[in-house]
Amino acid sequence: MNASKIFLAAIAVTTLGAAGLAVAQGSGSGMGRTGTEAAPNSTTPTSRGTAATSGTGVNQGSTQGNTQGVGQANNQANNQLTNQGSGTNMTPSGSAGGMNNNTQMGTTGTTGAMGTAGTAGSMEANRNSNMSQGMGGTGTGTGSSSSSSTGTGTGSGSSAGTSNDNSSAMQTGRSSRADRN
Amino acid sequence: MSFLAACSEVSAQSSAVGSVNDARELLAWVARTQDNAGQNFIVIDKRRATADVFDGGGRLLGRSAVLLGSAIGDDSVPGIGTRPLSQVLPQERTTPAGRFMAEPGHNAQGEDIVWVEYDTAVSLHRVRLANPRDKRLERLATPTAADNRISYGCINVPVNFYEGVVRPAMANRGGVVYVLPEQKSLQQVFWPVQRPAQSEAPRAQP
Repeated sequence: MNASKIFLAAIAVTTLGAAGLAVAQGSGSGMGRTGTEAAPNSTTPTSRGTAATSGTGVNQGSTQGNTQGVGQANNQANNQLTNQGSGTNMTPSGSAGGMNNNTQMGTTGTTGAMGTAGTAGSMEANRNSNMSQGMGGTGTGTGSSSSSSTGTGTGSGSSAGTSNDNSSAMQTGRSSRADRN
Repeated sequence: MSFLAACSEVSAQSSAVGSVNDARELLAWVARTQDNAGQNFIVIDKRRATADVFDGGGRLLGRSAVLLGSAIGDDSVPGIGTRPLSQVLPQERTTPAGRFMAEPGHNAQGEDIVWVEYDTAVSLHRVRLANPRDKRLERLATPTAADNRISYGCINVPVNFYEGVVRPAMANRGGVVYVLPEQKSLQQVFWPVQRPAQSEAPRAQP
């Protein structure tokens, strides 16, 4: 399980955006939570952060935050994580946003990677009941963002996406059956 | 006991000359080709109604009388493994000959057994006494092999032999079970299908 937080800060008028992408391998399914949060601002900005994680075998988590202040300030952070495999995969945390005066490059989004684990599945052979389990995929990713903005405004958004995948496969050897006595 | 010693003992204890020759020839071939690939193995001699259990190095772990399928023959009829016992005709109750990769398992009653040939439902298991009319214990106790043909194809062994010898030898990763033929030749049963050891297979006895 993982929670990510996105903090977006922007100053009005211009638009800033950040995007990050992380890809991991594993499989499983998970559904993340969506979070929306409004942020106070002296210039009445609003901010929203959303996060969604969904997928079966593929998990995708994204966060997006919008902040609007006087004039317009729009910050976006977008992180994606694709997990394939089995086990527990976690959405990446990512943050993007920038505080800028006039026209400057915003901060660089943090890497959206997390991806725990990736332990290889263990398999135990047993004629009657073989159990194999795989857990985890390893996710790595990078995210970057640039932004420029002018004006004032603050906004924050937070999002948390979680996915928890556990997959297991039961492999059965020779099933019980009648013999010839 | 080594392969050669086992061969000698087989000779000494058996009155079925053809069977002894087959057993000796098979054991010599297994020793020469390492056909068991280090796995424990069992030699079932249907004519003598015996089971010899060896470890992977060819040392004899134990020997016992066995009960076998009531019908004489070295093959199983197609589809017999999926038929209920009530539908298995008397002439179909054979214990097939051949080389089998045996594996531990369970039957429909949950009893732990050794599957000799799963597809034909032939297993090696403790002697079953559910039907007193079969007189299975008595058949095992007699010194003759002629009355040891009573099952539908499975190989029955005394309980203490199963617990003390068979199960320890086969429980972990199974092993090889060689069932000597009673109608066919060794050549017909074993070596036509032996892949890498084809060139090393002994020639058929004249």
